[in-house]
Amino acid sequence: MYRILMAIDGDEHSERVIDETITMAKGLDAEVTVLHVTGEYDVKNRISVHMSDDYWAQVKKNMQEEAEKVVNKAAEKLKENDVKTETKVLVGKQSPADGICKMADRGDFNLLIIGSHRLKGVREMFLGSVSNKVAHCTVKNVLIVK
Amino acid sequence: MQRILIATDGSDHAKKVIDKGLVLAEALNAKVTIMTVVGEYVFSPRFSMQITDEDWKKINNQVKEEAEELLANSAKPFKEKGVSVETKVVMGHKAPADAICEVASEGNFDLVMVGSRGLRGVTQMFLGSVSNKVAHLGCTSVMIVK
Repeated sequence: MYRILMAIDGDEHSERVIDETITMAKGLDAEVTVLHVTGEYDVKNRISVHMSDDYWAQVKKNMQEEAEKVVNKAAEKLKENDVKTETKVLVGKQSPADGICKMADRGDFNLLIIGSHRLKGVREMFLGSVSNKVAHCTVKNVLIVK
Repeated sequence: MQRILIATDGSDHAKKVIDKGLVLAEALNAKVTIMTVVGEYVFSPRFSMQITDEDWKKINNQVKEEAEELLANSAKPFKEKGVSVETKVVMGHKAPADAICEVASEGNFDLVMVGSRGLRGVTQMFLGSVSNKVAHLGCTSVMIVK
């Protein structure tokens, strides 16, 4: 069985990634795992105030729920198109790129599909793009959807 | 109908890209163009000997013929499987990535397939400079074959 890992961040561009994945999955008769990675670092880096453990637990729970919404919405569209689909959410300390690569390389996937935001110029120099990092860190074939 | 552009440099790794491209083209019922980029040999100050225009022409013709032979061989398995395939040699002073993107945009391709490393494997340890640049230019969706 051909297996595809589709990583999305839930923004508008994800729609194109989903469409491309449907085309690929139907052609290759593949099974798709929808992945969304969100990081604790996202919150911790931005908030300098002290948070109680309870509050932190609530934040994490919200992040988990938001992430599940993203993957479930995508999975619905894939299933509507008769593509066999699973979902996976990673809420962790790793960056999205590291999380995606870890998932891709750990699993038995033939292809990783990801969108590209194409940051330009200075922003790209400093931030790098997730797709670029992923293209470097994974050992799997990568499709970067424009 | 999907249109796939496969870039090859004749390296061993590029054979993997061709194999993968064939699988995908069959699965997606796609039309394929296989291309390669070769530098045009012009007068270079490095050459202290005198070479006539005619000799340059001869050298360039030979290079082009070799490239065409490479592409003809690469196209064989596609023809055997009944996949519609064309070949294209780009000669010039362009960087391979720029030439690949140009062909991709002009030909309205849906997908470009490149290998993660080619002839210059050692210079870029993790991702070949050409595939990296093609992904960065973002002219179309890119599949990087590892």
